[in-house]
Amino acid sequence: MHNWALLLRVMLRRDRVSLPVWILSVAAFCVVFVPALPQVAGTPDEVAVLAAMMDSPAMVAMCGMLYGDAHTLGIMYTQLMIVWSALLVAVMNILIVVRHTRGDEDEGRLEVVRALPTGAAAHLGAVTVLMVGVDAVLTVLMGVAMPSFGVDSIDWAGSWVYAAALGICGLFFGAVTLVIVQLVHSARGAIGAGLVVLGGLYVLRAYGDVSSETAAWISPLGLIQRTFPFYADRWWPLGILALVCVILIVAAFVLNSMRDMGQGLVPRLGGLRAHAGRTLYGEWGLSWRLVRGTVVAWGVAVFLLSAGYGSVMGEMEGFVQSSPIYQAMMGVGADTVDVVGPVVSMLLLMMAILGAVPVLTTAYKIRAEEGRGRMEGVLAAPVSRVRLYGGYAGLIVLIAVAMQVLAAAGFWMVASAVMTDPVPVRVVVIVAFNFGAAVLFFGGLGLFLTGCAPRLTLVGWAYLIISFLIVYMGGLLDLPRWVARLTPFGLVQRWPSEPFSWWPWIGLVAGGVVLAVVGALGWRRRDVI
Amino acid sequence: MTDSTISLTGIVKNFGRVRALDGVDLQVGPGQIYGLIGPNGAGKSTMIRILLAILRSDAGHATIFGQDVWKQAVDIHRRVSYVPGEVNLWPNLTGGEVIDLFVRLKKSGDSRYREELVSRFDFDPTKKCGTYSKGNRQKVALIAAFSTDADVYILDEPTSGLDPLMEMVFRECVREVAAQGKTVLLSSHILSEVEHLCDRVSIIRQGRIVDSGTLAEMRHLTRNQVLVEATGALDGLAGLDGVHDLALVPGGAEFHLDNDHTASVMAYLAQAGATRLVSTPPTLEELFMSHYQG
Ligand SMILES: Nc1ncnc2c1ncn2[C@@H]1O[C@H](COP(=O)(O)OP(=O)(O)OP(=O)(O)O)[C@@H](O)[C@H]1O
Ligand SMILES: [Mg+2]
Repeated sequence: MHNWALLLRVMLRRDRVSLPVWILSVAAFCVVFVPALPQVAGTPDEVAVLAAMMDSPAMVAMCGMLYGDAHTLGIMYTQLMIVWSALLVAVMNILIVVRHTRGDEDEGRLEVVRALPTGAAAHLGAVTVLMVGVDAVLTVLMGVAMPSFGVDSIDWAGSWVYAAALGICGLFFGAVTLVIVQLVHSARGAIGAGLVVLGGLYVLRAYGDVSSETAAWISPLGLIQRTFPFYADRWWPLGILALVCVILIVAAFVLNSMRDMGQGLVPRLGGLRAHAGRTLYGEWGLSWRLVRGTVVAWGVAVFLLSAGYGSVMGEMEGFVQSSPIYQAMMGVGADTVDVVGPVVSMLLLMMAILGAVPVLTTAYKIRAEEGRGRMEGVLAAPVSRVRLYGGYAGLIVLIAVAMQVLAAAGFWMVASAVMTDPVPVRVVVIVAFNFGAAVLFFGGLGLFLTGCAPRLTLVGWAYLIISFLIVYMGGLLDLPRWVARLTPFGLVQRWPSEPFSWWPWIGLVAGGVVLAVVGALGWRRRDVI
Repeated sequence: MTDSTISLTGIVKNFGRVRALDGVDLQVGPGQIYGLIGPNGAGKSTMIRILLAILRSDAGHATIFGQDVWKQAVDIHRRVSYVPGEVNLWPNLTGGEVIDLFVRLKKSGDSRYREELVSRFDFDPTKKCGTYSKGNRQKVALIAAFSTDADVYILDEPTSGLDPLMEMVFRECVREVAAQGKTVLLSSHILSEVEHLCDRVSIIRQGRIVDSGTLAEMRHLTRNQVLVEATGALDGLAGLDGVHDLALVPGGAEFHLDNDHTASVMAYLAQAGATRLVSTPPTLEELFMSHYQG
């Protein structure tokens, strides 16, 4: 463990911009809606309505359970935000750890460091300290920020439990990633595996919160809610999770000492192909090959998660029948479509936002290839820039359609099996089709940024996350409708709660096409960077 | 010079406030093996990237086969093979897959020749690119470039990372395409490589071509190092045109001599009773040093 402090300083220096941006924006995401709470749930009536809605199986599956004997704002905030905040903190930890381990190894930066008089474990030690430090800073920021808004029932003791729960949960996923990077061969593979673990544990929690307490405890995302912030303020579940983190970190050190740099412990699959297969043909074949892994993995994840959401529809039916407040909200005597339609719409909206992720990564593929210095060789071959770009545009349309189809299919197949009065397939298809326009719009936006502002690709991600926040919270917190319309997902009508309209749909698709065309013009004129 | 295969006139390229190319003129005739040398950051790679429409020039005009390098890029690239200065490959594809991919992008490969090159370069195409060493990645680019049909080969430091044996194989490949009348533009830091392969050379420095010509011509324009011993006094040398850096030693002198003043200085030396005369042309290294250091 020589010189880990020196290595840590090098890392901090390299990330002196990106780390503060990460930490501040994640912290902002986690606390930003605290001051908004009293406005939407100020009166006891408002609280009762909100709580009734949030106690529905669909909401419990999506974000977590409602606990305690009174519906205080603190408890409702925890249910609404803690799981999604934990997901974001987890993604941050995964990306930071991969960047400083596998990412460095892939680009040969670590060899330079290893040549310095540093021990073999020093680098891993520095990354561990960095990770713990990031989560600690995040915890302190949130712990101080949350109670300082002075919202009723969001007190200091509860806030510290809440913040520490997020910090330790982030640390858990960072530690899992530290183990993963010892096993796999590339940065991309490590990120993918990290996200698979995250997604799996999210689904396990959703299942657990709806129907199995044991399953919920096994998933850290379920465990952290069982600290009951602002109610029981229990610390001991976090102690268990911290212990798991320590075990994982020790495992990472042991595995690290067993492997060579640049290699993973799990044997590399494939290889041995002396010739390219038939599909690796031309620039389009290459493009597909480059996005194939991500798209297939994401497609499977969307299908499974959507099926998971579909599985709560049976409980949802029973809940609606036994909840007078909910019935009143939806309109009494309404048919299946009226009652569960809005739920279908809410769940498939989440799936559409997820579906926009592979669309955006595909739109950014040209940029990513440039960044890794691989576009130069391809463009020096007789490859037209416009054809290459057009190929990606075509892929984006296919991926967007595929994601919506997978989401709708996964949802409907399971939902129709568990419901006594199944939601008609027509409803699911129209909802997915409706949100598809927003997914396509993100494809156009991504292509535009690639072509015209290749250094601002982060803008697309930021817009997607903000869209998610606004749409997710806006639906529950009664944000004015026009606020939601600032995002593509809010711009389309919320059918079936709102009447269907073609105009926003056509407008979004047309906007996406225009952005893509402008992007093509930019891409045709600019330097490869 | 419309019959040049590669032609650049007045090419300017800025990166923000850095002027990487500052009015480059270069003509490469058909069938020439043209060397491009210059210190790090001189602008060699930038110039090559402009020729390949990877970068867009800010001013000037560049053509290959008389076609505009930017507007007719795809047409031109059908007949051009390129080895980039830094070979970055897809870690998940094998070397063989990448070679095939590039040959297919070109639509003009000879698969038998590809196999021959693979064995000549002693290359294992079955491994994932993520595991290749720098030299092996370079081989992927070289095999892909030489196994496609092209009329122009543009090679940016193609042998960096290759061992001496592979360097020889590379030289053979260049000579073979040269024998078929193909044009080659070769940027390199390895002077012996340039000396062995190239007909003509340009030296580029801080974004400008500072010297061009055949190696013989370039030598001709410079000074020889002269060492002379004589019975008489040589003090008069100091006053002669074309004599530089004169150092008088007992019984003789050392100085640099401009080639075009050879006759008059020789006449003086003969009359001063020269007994021994050694004249050495500058080595390539010296030639380049004088240009590199300005
Ligand atoms: N994308 C870029 N952005 C900014 N500056 C650049 C960029 N590419 C090159 N430069 C600058 O342009 C100049 C010329 O670079 P270039 O790569 O052409 O040099 P070179 O002659 O190939 O050097 P070397 O021998 O080291 O390969 C350098 O000062 C470099 O820093
Ligand atoms: Mg270079």
